[in-house]
Amino acid sequence: MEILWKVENLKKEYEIGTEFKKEKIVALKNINIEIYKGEIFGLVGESGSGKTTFGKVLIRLIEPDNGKIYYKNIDITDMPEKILRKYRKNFQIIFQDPYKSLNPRIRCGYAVMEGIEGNKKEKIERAIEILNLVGIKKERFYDYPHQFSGGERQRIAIARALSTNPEFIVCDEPTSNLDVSIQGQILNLFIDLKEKFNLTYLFITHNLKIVRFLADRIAVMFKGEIVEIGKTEEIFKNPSHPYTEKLLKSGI
Amino acid sequence: MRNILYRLKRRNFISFVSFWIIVLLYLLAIFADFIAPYPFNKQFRDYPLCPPTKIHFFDKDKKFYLRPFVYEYKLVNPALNKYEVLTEKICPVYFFVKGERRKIFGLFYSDRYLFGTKEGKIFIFGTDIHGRDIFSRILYGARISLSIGIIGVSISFFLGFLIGGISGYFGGKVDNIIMRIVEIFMMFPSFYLMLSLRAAFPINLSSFQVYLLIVVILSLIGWAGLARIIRGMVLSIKEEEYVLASKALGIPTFKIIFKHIIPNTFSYSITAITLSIPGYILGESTLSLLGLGIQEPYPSWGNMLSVCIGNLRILSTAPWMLIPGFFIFLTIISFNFLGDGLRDVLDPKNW
Amino acid sequence: MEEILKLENIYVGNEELKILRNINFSVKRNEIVSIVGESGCGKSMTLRTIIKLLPKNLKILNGDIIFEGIRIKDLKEKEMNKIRGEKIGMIFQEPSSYLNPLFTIGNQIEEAVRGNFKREKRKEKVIKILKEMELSPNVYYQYPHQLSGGMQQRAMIAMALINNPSLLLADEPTTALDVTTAFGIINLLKNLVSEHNLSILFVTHDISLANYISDRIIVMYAGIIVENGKAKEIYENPLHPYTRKLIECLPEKYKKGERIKTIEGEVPSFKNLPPGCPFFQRCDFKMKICEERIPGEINFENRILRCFKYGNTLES
Repeated sequence: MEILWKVENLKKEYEIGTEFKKEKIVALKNINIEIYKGEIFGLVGESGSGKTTFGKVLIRLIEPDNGKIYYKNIDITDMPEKILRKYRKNFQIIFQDPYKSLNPRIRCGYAVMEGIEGNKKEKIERAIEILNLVGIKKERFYDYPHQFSGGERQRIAIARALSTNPEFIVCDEPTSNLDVSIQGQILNLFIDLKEKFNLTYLFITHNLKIVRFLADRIAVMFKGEIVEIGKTEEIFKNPSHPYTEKLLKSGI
Repeated sequence: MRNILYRLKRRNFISFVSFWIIVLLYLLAIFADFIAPYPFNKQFRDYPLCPPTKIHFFDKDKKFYLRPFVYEYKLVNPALNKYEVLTEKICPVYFFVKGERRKIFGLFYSDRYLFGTKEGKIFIFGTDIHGRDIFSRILYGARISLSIGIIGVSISFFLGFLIGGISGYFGGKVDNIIMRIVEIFMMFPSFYLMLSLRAAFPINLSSFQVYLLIVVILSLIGWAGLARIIRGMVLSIKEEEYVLASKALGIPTFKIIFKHIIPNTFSYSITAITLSIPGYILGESTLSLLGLGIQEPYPSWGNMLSVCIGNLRILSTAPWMLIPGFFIFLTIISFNFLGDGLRDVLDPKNW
Repeated sequence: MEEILKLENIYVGNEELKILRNINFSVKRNEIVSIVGESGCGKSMTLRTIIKLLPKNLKILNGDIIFEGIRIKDLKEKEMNKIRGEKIGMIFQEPSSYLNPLFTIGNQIEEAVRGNFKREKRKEKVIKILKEMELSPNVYYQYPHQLSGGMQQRAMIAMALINNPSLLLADEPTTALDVTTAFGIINLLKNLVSEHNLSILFVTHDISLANYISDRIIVMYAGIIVENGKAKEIYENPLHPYTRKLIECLPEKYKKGERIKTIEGEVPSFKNLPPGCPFFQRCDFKMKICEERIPGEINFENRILRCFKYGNTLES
């Protein structure tokens, strides 16, 4: 299996507080993960576990403090932004809050067009095509985000992520803010797109039921560390770490 | 732009009206050369503190005239400022009338005026103590007051955006240093800073130099508060998810700044601009009022009011001398209402 | 068992909108009833109607609310205030928004104590209830920001229960909390029912959670109650087409590689309610009558349903 991502000893710390009293918060302690091409890798944890931070650090939207990140064997940890930019189209991200992940001043079609290359006409055509793929009709191309429902906005965000033809998408709790009935639609969409475009996902969530349904392998995070990692069913049936046990018991 | 006006009209009618009042004031200022019936420094020694000329359509015999007319005024009691209206002579008001030759926009000569009289005088707002037509002076004064507002604000905002934007986007040490400098600027009470800066220069500068000086002083005082607020907004917008998403798409930094970050500061900044302009106008008026701004004979709304200070005689016998104050008030309140309405209209949720 | 709370034919709205339509249900003593529905179905509004804290532009148009035998719909504010906090307690979703950051927890809970008690006695009561909430007595002296989300929520429950009310209204109290924390709070609430002689009306969008905690489930959609029955029975055998779909949407019912059955379309907004059954557009069993008329309440297999599939009763 081709290794898409390899992360070694990744660390990330935050400082909070005033000039007089600073506190260090360790978001990522020492992360070692490999993600294979074609899989859905679930990252499970509660708030403060560092899972969202990991998603952003992996694709270098936030800079790591220490450690190495390899994308397809290329060390991108310290790659200057100018060069990294060329790689960025291969890995995209979808965020949790569909109300905040779209610029409220930009029409939905333009938001999807942003990452597409070509002349204006080509861009518009491609944007309409992708929006269609995710279920947004072309009549709504010029609408503003606030004219869409939460589920529709999430679809637009997915369309934007697809616009650069990526092979990997970080999905940061993409359905947590959606109603149950809409959640199912979006999850189905994720599966369809994965099959159609041979995508690999890092699926970050705190919802055990979703991760059991979607992910091939999962990693359980607790306070910045990975406490358990392995095939989904094995972990659900035979959790080895006490935190994993506690987590599974709480899933009603 | 048309869209914004339309929305303004629908959502906040006062705002819409205010917009047009402001447009009217600026047009009056721009076309002062043409609209004002008399040059701003022409003294009519026979008519000091003359009350506003009434415009009539009916004469004393109740006869109707299609063309409006005025009567001649004659000073009968200089001590009490009393004038007698001579109702025998009809002095019609003509439009596009010929008068004294003067320069329009400082470029070409013309002897046409928008309106005027061939005989008699038409002082719409009366005259001042030297017999100068107040209406004409208000129009020329508008040039000073209104332009200083716009130019001063533009400079301040340019500085505020640039410095605040850099500070907010790069953060860290850069942010720290810049903000400390900004705080030093903000420390000085603006009014006293303004007076001191002005006093640092010789009193008798040419009017043009004084004008520039005032603009520079006002901008220097105003930019700091703006920079701080823009910086705060940039800091928070920078962390918004749609900005991160653009970064993930590989969009270069400066494009992100111009396309995503700056437009999202507009909701605050455009309203802040319209609400600051009154401050600049007042700043100039205050300086001129205190004799530190535009000097005689050049009119500014501020220095036209300075004569009234403590002068009971003028206030009781010639209240029309306070009309420049009304114009200051009208301008400020219109900008305030406009700013209010704009804040509403620029919110994308209302689109 | 006696009824603590009964809602009869409640309609809430104003001239333009009808948010709640013909709400009828009751809660018995020591019973946990969950109201389940998606966003915009009116479940939170129902709680606010009971405690009479509706937004200014909405009012109770019709019907009555009977709490412990008293009709409270037309009760004056002064009388209602005696009930709020004392006989009916309420907890909300985001404890940090509902706790004043400027005052200690002890101070805030004490503020809720009713009756004339001396200072020491009040403090005693507060410490006692903090212990019941499995919080250390030190929390008395702490400020909200020093507590975790779960602890804040327990503090809020303490505030709601300090006067020993007979009814607790809970508006999605665990939605914003982590799974493990939420689990602790849910179990706490279950225990409190027997210890405090409490009834709970629990609002949630999670039907699995509703099944875990409650005796009965009420399913709401677009302002009407579509199904009302025993929790386990509804969870294992949902009858109303919407409830069925809700259960079908749960990812845990599927294996990897399958597609989740979904409900096409969206919940209608209150401004654009259809004339007939609000679920008509998205229903798999729709009939002509469903488009035109709202189904009335039908008793079917120990459940209350509003669906023409199970009977022909029309809405009166």
